[in-house]
Amino acid sequence: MIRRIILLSVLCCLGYSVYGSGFQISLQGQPQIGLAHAGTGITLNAASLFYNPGAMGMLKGKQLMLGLHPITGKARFVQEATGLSGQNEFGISYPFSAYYTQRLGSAANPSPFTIGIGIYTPFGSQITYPNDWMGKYLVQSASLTTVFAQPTISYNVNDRLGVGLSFVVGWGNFNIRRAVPIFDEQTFSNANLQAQGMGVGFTTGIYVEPWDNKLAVGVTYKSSARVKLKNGTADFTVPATAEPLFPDTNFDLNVGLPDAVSLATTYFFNGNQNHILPDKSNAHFITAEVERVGWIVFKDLNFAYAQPVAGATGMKLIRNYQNAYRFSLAGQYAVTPRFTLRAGIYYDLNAAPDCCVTPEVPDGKRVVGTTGASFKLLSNLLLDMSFLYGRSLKRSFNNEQNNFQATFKGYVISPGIGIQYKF
Amino acid sequence: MRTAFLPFFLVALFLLNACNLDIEQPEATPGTGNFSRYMAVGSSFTAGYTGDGLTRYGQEHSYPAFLAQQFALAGGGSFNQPLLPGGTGSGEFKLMGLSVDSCGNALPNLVKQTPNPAWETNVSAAAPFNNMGIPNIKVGDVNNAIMYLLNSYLKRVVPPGTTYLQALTGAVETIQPTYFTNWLGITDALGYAATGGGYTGNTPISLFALTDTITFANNYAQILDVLTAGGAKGMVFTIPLLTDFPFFNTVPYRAQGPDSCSHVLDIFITASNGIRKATSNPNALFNDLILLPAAQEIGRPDTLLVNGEQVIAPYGLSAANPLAHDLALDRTEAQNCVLTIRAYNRAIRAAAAARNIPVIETDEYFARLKKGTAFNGIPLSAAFIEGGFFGLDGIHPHDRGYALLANFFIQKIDSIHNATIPQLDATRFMGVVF
Repeated sequence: MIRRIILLSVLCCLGYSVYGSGFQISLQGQPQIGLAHAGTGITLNAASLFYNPGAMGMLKGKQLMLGLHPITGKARFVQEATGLSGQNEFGISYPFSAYYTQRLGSAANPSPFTIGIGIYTPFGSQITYPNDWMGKYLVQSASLTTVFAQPTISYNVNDRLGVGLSFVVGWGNFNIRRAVPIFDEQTFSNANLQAQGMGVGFTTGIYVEPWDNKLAVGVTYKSSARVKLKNGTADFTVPATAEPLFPDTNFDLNVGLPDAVSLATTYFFNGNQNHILPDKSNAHFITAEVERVGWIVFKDLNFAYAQPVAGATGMKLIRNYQNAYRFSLAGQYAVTPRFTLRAGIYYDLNAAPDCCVTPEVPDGKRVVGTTGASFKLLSNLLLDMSFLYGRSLKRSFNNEQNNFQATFKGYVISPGIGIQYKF
Repeated sequence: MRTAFLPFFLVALFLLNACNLDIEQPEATPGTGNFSRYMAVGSSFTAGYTGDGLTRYGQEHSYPAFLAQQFALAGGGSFNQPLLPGGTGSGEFKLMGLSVDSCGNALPNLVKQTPNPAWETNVSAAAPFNNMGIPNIKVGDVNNAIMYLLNSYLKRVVPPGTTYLQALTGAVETIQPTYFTNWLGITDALGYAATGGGYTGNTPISLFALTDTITFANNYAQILDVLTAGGAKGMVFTIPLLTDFPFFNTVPYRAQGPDSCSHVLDIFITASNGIRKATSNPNALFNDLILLPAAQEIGRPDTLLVNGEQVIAPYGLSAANPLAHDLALDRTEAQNCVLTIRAYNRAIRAAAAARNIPVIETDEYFARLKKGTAFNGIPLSAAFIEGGFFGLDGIHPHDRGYALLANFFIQKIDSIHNATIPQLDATRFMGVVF
């Protein structure tokens, strides 16, 4: 469902630039962040509700998990032809996530069903460029606030096989501000577009251990969705002379969001030992995951104005995205029964082709390194920490619709902290 | 190093590099070109004319001034222009407002500003000038001594009684340019096209006639000989297809009628074969073109005397009260104009080829504009006002348009001379001021 909102952001032509679809970082569950988002092939904790509803069936009892994942990033652009350069201004956003899962039945006689709900802000950040920067006619600032809720049910066929299904509902509010090349004697004009919308989808997953406590395989499918944004508002601040051409108006926007499939496998080094928990949170393991995101559905953003603006009944932003892949490799080492360490790396391909990169979403190939640790403070209370650092590899592009050519590089940093309470 | 320090070392290394986003920026280099002393030759486009007038602001935002400014980053020197005193100069159009009717047709209200009387003061004492762009100068007139009296823009720049070619020769001898651009020739065709085939009202004016192509070719060759006498390198620009400019394409050949938004009225024009309805066929090579100034005139309630009675007859909407000849370029005149531009361009290419001077086909840019293009997010087209390139006279670019032209020329210079001259940030110029 992350994708959904990613979309929401992108779709709204704004986005998350450094953090969003461009960087496509799913900040969900501190341990999984430390494992380079490779959460499909392992259970670990309540965040598996998000990564693989099938794996969620391996959880016992009641679990509550809370996390805060502050994130900041920078994207820097240089335009060879003019020598101009620009970068976004410093800003931190504070996505959070909360999950609750509960095994039905009693401790002595557990039901095969586990239910849970996740509430999280997969995005909720903003990117701001200097008001007069070289890309101001594409974007000056874009912000996105999102909240998702994901009720989930998981069925544990036996200790080695789980299947799960989630319903996902997401709400997003976006805002984009861009310059309009209508000048009075001092300066250019501005457009401010704002809209909110909802999208629904589902997530389903299977988790299986073909080799008990030694090898696990997981598959997750997150559905595509259509998001309809109705009655967004477009405000134009233009000189009085131009006002007849730029009425403040409403707009509708209809966006198709991609689906995603992830496939992962995990090998446990200290399997077959009695003290390994069914959720594998105290195991040594390595896990590998590949995810395909069906960005091919994302062709354009077609804003339909209720009233003509400068003679146009709409604005079509061409995106022509292509399917993208993420490859993650990560591992965990349980140093002591109270202390585990994790590290991972992932490589992410770009969804935006060279024709269609925008500064709202400076999309490029990314290499991201992650690390994390968990400390058992009490028998039922864990402290989780994670750290993520990613580089967007140097990329030259020419956005053809805007004839905006640049080379960019970027980075993103996110330290995170969370707790897990089991009861 | 003791291994205990290794983690600290790695952390320090990480912190040093984590936030480093350096991207090398190319340096400005002249390549095989020498831009130390640049001279621009041309007519109104070269002078910085826009909105049917010339101001100091326009001169400072002319494409030669922009080129000189960018050349200065790659070894270019000073660039002297025959600057006007500040203020309104010779008087440009100003946009006073836009009225939008219920059918969504926008009509700009354009008012010509009062000229600053000091604009005609002769500045030849400040010669030599690197910018020899003189509005309204024709290739056909470069040896014509009378032009000193007839062309106020020439009169203020050159010593009394001087022809354009004499003044140019003097400037070249003093400046000794290393690089030149030549965009003469536009007025030879524009004078005819913008006056509906060489008319004021319904009176033919010989000054506006098309230059004959033989005179054009001879004079053009003379100009190139003067420019290259000292061994200067440079490039010449062809004449664009003027009839694609908004001056000729903004006013439709039929007028909005009063009954509904789809109700149209015929427009009557004074064509070369007499008074008739304007016609337009999308499949025809040449059509009747209603000129931009007609927009504010069509439908004006004129009072006519018919059979001794006073009758109200909306201007241009009946055979009894047609548009004057200078408000329409009929299809015969349009064809005449376009074929002559092609002949001029053949002469330009031949004269340049004989002297090994690169020819820049300006229609490459204008065709792109017609199709619709953009620069750093600003959409651009050949449309009037909203196109983002042309100024308020519908013929000449405004400051942003001239900056975009300068960028087009810089791309050509870079490729001809293997240079890396930076282009301008054209987004910072105002364009049409609302």
